[in-house]
Amino acid sequence: MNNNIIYGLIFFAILYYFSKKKKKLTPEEIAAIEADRLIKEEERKKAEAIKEEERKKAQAIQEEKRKERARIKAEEEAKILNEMLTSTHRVYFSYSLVNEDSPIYLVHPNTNSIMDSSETSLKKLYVDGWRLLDIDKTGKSAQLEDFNFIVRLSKN
Amino acid sequence: MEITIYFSHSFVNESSPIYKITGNGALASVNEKTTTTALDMIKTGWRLSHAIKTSQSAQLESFNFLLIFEK
Repeated sequence: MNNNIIYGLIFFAILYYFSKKKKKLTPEEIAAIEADRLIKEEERKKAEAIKEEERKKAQAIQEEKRKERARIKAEEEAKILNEMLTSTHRVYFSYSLVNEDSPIYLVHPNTNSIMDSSETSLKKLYVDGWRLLDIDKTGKSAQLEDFNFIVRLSKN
Repeated sequence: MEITIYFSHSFVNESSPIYKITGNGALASVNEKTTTTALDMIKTGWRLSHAIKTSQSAQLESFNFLLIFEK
């Protein structure tokens, strides 16, 4: 009875050994596997390249859209700025008006945003014949760098 | 016409010291070397056109003002 169990165990051990033993590959088989691996690698690289190209295309489209928006905004700003510059009254804003050379800006009438392209100073405006009508401090801060002001000027 | 802007820590009379501020934004600072008074400015032909109180304090020693002169 015990012998049968031992033989059985030996049989299964041998069976297990042969089932797990790696099959020795022929050089042709190795070459085929390597070729398959290379093809897969090539495909993976191609897929990555396509993905990268698509990403770049999407990025280029986004950049193009951004440039177009910026161009439209600049055109609108230039048009509004031109209208404002032909007026005999102007309202400027300054983040920090501490002297006659402090930068001051026109405010976009529709968006209330600062028009960076309109940057000037009281000194330059006075040279052009503008005069200060009113000036209001719009911020509460007493710090020089936060001397927010609205400045109203006129020109005859 | 010209414009010039001065600042005073405590503008309480025509002889209160006033200063130019040099630099802009974060670099703005009172230039002590430019100390003068409204009286001296008027004597040299400048006219005070606007005086703007720049701080909330009601204490005389903290009457911060921005003074705009024209000539």
